[in-house]
Amino acid sequence: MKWCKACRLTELPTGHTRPVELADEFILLCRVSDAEIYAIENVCSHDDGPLGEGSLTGKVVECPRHGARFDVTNGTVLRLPAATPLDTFPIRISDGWIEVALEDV
Amino acid sequence: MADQALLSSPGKPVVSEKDIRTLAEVLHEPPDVSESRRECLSAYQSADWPDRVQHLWRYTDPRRVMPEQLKPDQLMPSQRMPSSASQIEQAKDLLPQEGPAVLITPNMKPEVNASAREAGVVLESLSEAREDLAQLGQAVRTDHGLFEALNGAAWNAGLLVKIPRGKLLAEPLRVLIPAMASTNLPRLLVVVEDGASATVVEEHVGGNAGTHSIGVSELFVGTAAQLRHVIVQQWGAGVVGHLTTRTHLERDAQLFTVLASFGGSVVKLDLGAALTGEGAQSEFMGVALGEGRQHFDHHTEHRHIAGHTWSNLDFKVALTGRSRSVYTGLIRIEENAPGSEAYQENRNLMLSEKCRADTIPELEILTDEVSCSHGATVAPVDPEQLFYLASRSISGPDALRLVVRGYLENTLRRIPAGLRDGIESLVTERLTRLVGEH
Repeated sequence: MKWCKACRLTELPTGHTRPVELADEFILLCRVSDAEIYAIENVCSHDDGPLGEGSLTGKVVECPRHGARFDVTNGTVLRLPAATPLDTFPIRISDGWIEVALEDV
Repeated sequence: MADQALLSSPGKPVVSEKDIRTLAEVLHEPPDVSESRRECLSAYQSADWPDRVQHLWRYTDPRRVMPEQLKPDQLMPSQRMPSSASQIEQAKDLLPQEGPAVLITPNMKPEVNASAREAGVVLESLSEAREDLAQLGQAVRTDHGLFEALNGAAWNAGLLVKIPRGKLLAEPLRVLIPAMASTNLPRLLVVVEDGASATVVEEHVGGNAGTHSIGVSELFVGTAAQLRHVIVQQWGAGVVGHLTTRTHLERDAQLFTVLASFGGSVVKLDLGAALTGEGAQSEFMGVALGEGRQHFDHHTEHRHIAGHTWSNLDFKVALTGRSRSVYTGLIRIEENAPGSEAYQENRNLMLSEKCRADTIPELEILTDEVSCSHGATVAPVDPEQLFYLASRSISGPDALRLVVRGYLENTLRRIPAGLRDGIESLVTERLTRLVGEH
C-alpha cells in the first residue's frame, strides 16, 4: 500500500468532485461534507463513462453517459445499467493534502 | 509516473508551421514531401479532440495518449537522444529469423543485405528517398484523425520499403522502430509491387515512463502480390503508444497480418486493410497479453471495397492483474462489393478478478450476396479444465500456462511456418511472465 498525494484540501470544496490520475489509476475525489471525503474509481463499470463529468448528489454519483449511480462511500451500484461495483480507496489528510492509498500492482 | 498528477483538459500540443519548415530543412526533404507535411499540419491544427461518444475513443481518453507538449527541439532529429544500444540489441534477438534488420531512427542509413540487394529491394529514408513517394499519405490520409495528422505533419524518422515487381523475397525484412526520445513520430511506407512477395516484420520496442510514440505505417500490395506483415509491439513499461496501419490491396493481392501486442502502459493500435481489387484476401491473426495496469485499445478494420474479396480475423487476448483490453473491430462491405466473405472473432480470457475486457465487433454491410459472421467472448478460465489438469498432477502456474497456451493454439497454428516459431517464443516468454505473477 502506498499513499499518493492527490490534491490540496482547499482545492476540493464541499459538494464537489475532482478527478485525479495516480499511478495509472483514474480516481474521483468526492467531498460530500466538510468532514467527509471519499475516493472512488472514476470509470463507470458499465461503459467506461467518466463519473467526474457527472453529478454528485449527497453520497451518490451519477454517470453522465447512461445514468448509472454509485454510492461513493463503498462503490455499490445504486442504479442500472451498471451492475458491477466500483473500487474505493482509503484516503487521509496530511499536511493540507488529500492522499489516496493505492495497492502495489 | 509521478505521484501527483491532476487531470485537466489540456489543449493539443502546439506544432507551428515554422517547426515543420525547420524539420523539413534539417531533413533536406524534397518539396512534395514538405507539401504533404503542410497539408497534415493544417488538418492537425483544425482538428478537435476525437469525440469520446464515438466508440473508437469511447474507452480511451485521447488526452492520455497525446504528449502534453511538443517543443521544437523534440521534433528535430539532431537533438534526439541516442538509442540504447543494449535495448536495440535485445530487440534484434527477439525473432530468430535471419534477415536484414533496419532501424527507423532519425539519422539512420538503411542497409540491405546481399540477397535483398540482388532482388532490387529499395530501403531508403523517407526524407532522402530518390523513389517516387506518390503513395505517401494515400492509405492514411490527412483527415484520418488527429494523431495521424500529427504524424503526417511532424514525422521525423521514416522508411520506404519497396519490393520490385515480380520479386519474391524469401527472407523477412525486419524493421526495428525504437522509441528513443520522449516523443517519437515514426513513419513507414511499404510498397509491394505487382506479383512480388515479401515478409515485413515491424517491431516497436524500447522506451519507458514518459515516452510517447505516435506511428503510422502505410502498406500497398499490388496486383497478385503477397505481403506478410508482422507487427510486434514490445514497448517498454510506461510507454504511451499510438500506431495506425492501413494496407491497400489490389486485385488478387494477399495480406497476412500477425499482431503480437505485449508492451507499453497505454496502447492504442488502429490496424486496417482496404480490399480495393477483386479477389483480394486479408487474414489477421492477433495476440495481446496484458498485465499490471496496462491499458490496450485495439481497433481493426476490414473494408471490402471490391467484390469477391475475402477477409478473416482472429484476435485473442489474455489479461492478468488490473489490465484492461478494449477491442473494436469493423467489417464493412461496400455497395459495389457483392460476393464478399468476411469473418471476425475476438476472444478474451480473464486470468484475474480485476482485469477487464470490452469487445465490440461490428458489421456494416451495404450490399446483398455476401457471407459474414462475427463473434466475441469474454470469460475466465474454466475451473473444470484446471480440475482435469490437477487430476493429472499438473497444477498452479503450470496448469494455467497450459490452459492459456491451448486457448492461443488455434490462432498461433495459422501463422505461416516461417514466422510461427518466432511469435511462439515471444508468446511463451510473455506468458511465463504473466502466469508467474498470477
